[in-house]
Amino acid sequence: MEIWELGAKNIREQVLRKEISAQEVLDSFLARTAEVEPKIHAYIELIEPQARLDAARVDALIMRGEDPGPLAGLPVALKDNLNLKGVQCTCASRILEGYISPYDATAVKKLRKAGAVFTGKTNCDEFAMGSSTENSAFGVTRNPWDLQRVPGGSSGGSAAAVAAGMAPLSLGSDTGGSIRQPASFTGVCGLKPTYGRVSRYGLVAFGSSLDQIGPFGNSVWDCALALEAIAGEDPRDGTTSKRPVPRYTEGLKRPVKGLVAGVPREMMELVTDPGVRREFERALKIISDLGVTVVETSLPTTEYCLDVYYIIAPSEASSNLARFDGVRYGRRAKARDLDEMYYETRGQGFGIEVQRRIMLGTFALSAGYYDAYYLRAARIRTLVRRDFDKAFAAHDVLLSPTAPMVAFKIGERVDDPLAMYAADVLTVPVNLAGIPALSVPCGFSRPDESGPELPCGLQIMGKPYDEETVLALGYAFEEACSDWFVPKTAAMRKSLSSQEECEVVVRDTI
Amino acid sequence: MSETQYELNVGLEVHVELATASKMFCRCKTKFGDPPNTNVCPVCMGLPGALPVANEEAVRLGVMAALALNCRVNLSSRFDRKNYFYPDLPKAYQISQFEEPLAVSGYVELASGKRIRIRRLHLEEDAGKSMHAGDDITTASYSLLDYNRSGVPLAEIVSEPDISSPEEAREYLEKMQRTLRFAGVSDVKMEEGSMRVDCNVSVRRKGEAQMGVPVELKNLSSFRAVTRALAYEYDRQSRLIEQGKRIARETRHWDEDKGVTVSLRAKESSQDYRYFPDPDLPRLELDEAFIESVQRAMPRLPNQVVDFYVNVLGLPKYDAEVLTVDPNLVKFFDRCVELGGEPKPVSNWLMGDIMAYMNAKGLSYDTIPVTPENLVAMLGLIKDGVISGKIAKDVLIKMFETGKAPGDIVKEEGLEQVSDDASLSVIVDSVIAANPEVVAQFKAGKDKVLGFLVGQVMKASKGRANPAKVNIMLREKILS
Amino acid sequence: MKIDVKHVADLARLKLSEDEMRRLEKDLESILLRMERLKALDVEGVEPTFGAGDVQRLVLDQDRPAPGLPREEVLKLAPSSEGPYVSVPREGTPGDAPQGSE
Repeated sequence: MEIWELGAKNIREQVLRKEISAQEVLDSFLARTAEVEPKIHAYIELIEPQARLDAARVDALIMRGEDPGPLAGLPVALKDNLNLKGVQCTCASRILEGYISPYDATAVKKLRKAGAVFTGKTNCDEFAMGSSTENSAFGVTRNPWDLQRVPGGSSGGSAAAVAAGMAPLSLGSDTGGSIRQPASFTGVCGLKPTYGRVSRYGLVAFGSSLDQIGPFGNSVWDCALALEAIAGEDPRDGTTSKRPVPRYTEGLKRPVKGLVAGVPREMMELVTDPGVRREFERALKIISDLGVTVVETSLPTTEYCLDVYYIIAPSEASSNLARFDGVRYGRRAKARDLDEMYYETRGQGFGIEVQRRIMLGTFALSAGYYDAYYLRAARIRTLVRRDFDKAFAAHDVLLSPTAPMVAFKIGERVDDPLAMYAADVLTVPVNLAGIPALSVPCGFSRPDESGPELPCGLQIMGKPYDEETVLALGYAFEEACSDWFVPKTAAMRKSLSSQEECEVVVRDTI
Repeated sequence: MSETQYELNVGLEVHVELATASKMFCRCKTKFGDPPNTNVCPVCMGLPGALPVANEEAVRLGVMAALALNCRVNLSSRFDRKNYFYPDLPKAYQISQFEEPLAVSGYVELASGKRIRIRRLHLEEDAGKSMHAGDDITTASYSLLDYNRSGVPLAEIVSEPDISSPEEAREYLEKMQRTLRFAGVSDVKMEEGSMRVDCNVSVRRKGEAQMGVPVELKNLSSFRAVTRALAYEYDRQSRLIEQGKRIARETRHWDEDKGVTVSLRAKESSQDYRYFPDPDLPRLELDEAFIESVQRAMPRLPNQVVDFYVNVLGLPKYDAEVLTVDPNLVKFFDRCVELGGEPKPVSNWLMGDIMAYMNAKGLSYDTIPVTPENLVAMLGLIKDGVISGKIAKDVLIKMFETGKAPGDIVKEEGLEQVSDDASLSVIVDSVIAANPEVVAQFKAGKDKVLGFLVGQVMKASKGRANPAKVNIMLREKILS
Repeated sequence: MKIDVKHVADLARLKLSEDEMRRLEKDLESILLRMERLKALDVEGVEPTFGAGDVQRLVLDQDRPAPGLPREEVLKLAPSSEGPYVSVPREGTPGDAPQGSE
């Protein structure tokens, strides 16, 4: 077995026991990346020289008998909307092409301190706006399970990198499902923490009241390890919670027997793929067998969540993205005067989906429409939160499929915004409520008779700041599935090696 | 046109920079006059991913300003984003308070007893500065940007349209400036931009119920500019009404050199700031105990000081008003009185020679080059007859220049009045000997000529002789 | 639901071609049409939620200056600079408008 196949937990332990070095770990992942990246295009930029320095530093610490930190040389891929000092931060947008960040995001700083080795910046939908990673100025990322399909989005590069074995861990950001949905599409674990659990400082803002950074991993344990490293109060982000950070890895084995799990009926009504429904129901059976009481429950506002989300997120985005004006950084279009510079820079620099959302948000905040759109959505958001409060008064966790469908084909939905937005219908309520949710692989569906099996995810939603229960249930569920899930992933990875390289497809509207 | 037929209604928007060490939402320095773009960071440059963190001291100073201006402080207020594009605004939105300001319902009382109501006081961040490249405004193709000022905390103070003359506007501004300076919340210097004024001015026929169409005036860089621009607008607008013309709702620019206002832009619907609550900043929640602690820490304000000087120290109202132009001057005066200086002579010297010297040298009152101790000592020397009031003026100049104590200067320079009989006698004798004709005239009863002889003695003593004694000694010596 | 796409694009400073304008108009109108459903909900008296998370009070930081970015780095990021300044093209109609923020 190659090092890259070992999983974060084993790698870390072997590094700490000095059986392998951080540099050997990195070499293994870089070799794997060289092999499969030409097929997947998970990265916008690989930063091998820096990564080698990071790994050497970790090894030096271990040699000196010092604590290298809990991540002990684990390679981590970063979504390209996270600031890493000295490295390009493009958000997959032309407007930031060549922009070298002069500072580290807090989560990045914390990971480095924990001993992580950064491998590069991963592809995503431009400014995290999308559900397929097709809206990238630098080409489409492909799903390792089927190269003709999308990896989900917006954090598709981070999800695909972990799924394909190019990195044991990665970070993404989740505004309306951008971690969980690609985790579901690529068969990995992805966690969106409670709003305020992880600092947003250094995450390029999309929807500021919704955004959270979170990890992707091959297992729940891996996600718990990463969350432990990045969570906590940050004086640079006034929305981070003061609550102490639990040792998430140590809480994984807490008993799940006796927990009460609710399945919101309104969410189930939105599941379109019968395979997804079938696998989810099978997952419920496994969870019941773990001693969890599974009951049906109700979140009456579910059907409005997507609309509320597509008012609030674009409104905030229209303001957050106004700073990309060509004045102080990023690309500036040639222009004779100031106004032309603004119009041309933003007209040429942003892709169509980003422009669509800026337009939608600008409209929702504009004079005469604010009350009917933004303010109304903010009020309904209160109703959504109340629904969740009520549900959590009677249940420890809520369960649903992560996405109503499995990975769709590249190009299938990208020109139909409403069809694309529908991919988020089960994940956006979580962001509106600010609660934590984990996507863990729960089965496979085969939408095309002749095509390959595609993974689907189970979404476990928890009470605010109760990541521990969410992770514990995810862990127990994963243990119960590992005998059939892990071999399938291994087989997928193996077959990936024999696939042909794929051309980089850049959509012309980007 | 009969001028008195029309009524002026002015509301003022005053921005003051709060005297914090660091900016409103980041910890970059706020120092005025530092080299361009040296006090900047990811937050105040609006770099992607940066987030604002509010400055406690800015909030405290904002509350202090609100209390000093008789406002009611809202225990709960909120920060909003004001969205507009301009190169000096790094995030393309300004963090301000729109719907729920820090404070409301204050006033400034004028000498006439009229109160100019303050509608609201809110906190916000300043923008950077932009300048034209090149000398000629019409040929320069680039603007230059300095972001040092970007993010400096501001309090915006908005009055009701209660001001009805350019003079009232000036008094309102002066009173506000003094009050805020005494409260220690801001430098309030128009010339450094730490106080900035925009006017909303409208004119209507007297007796008309409806306010006139408001016109916004910008580029008012001094109090004088405010009064001139208002007078100009009053004329312009009343003339338009007289001619039956419509007044456009617009922003006008004050041209200081030409003494006119010119139209800048129409206030169209395109100016839509799309305010919404800043999701990065939870509500600003204050409690009564905090407000009380700010109130307790409030320095004495100008009105209180004037009352004290007039009613307790017995100074004329005029003196009291002049001394309260600056809190440092008040501090200096108070210390002098504390040291035993008599209020009126101290006030005379401060308002006279000291202010004259400082104005001539362009000094500000935070660096008065003499100490209260030395000024009081100098007054003591005059009172004890050691130096004359005239010599004291020279001594004061020396005190300014050297920082030495007046006693030392008098001694070193030999400036004491000559009062001892032996020394005076020698001089008087020599003057009598040198002026036999004048002495003869005096003897003959021409009393007036004694003044000439006294003058000669003073001259010979280089001003140090005690004139009263000289007078007596001359009489005795000539007539005996 | 009719939407003045040109006006909104002006507010957002986006240069859009006629085609893009038409396409966005169609997209936005279908999105807004879907959102009409929200009007069915009674939100009378419901407080709006503007933020998530458990931080209800603004966090205040002490007024202690800290170093920021070196000027060279700031100027290096800028598409154009002149001396110690960031530079941008001037406003369109020279001579009639002074520079400066609102």
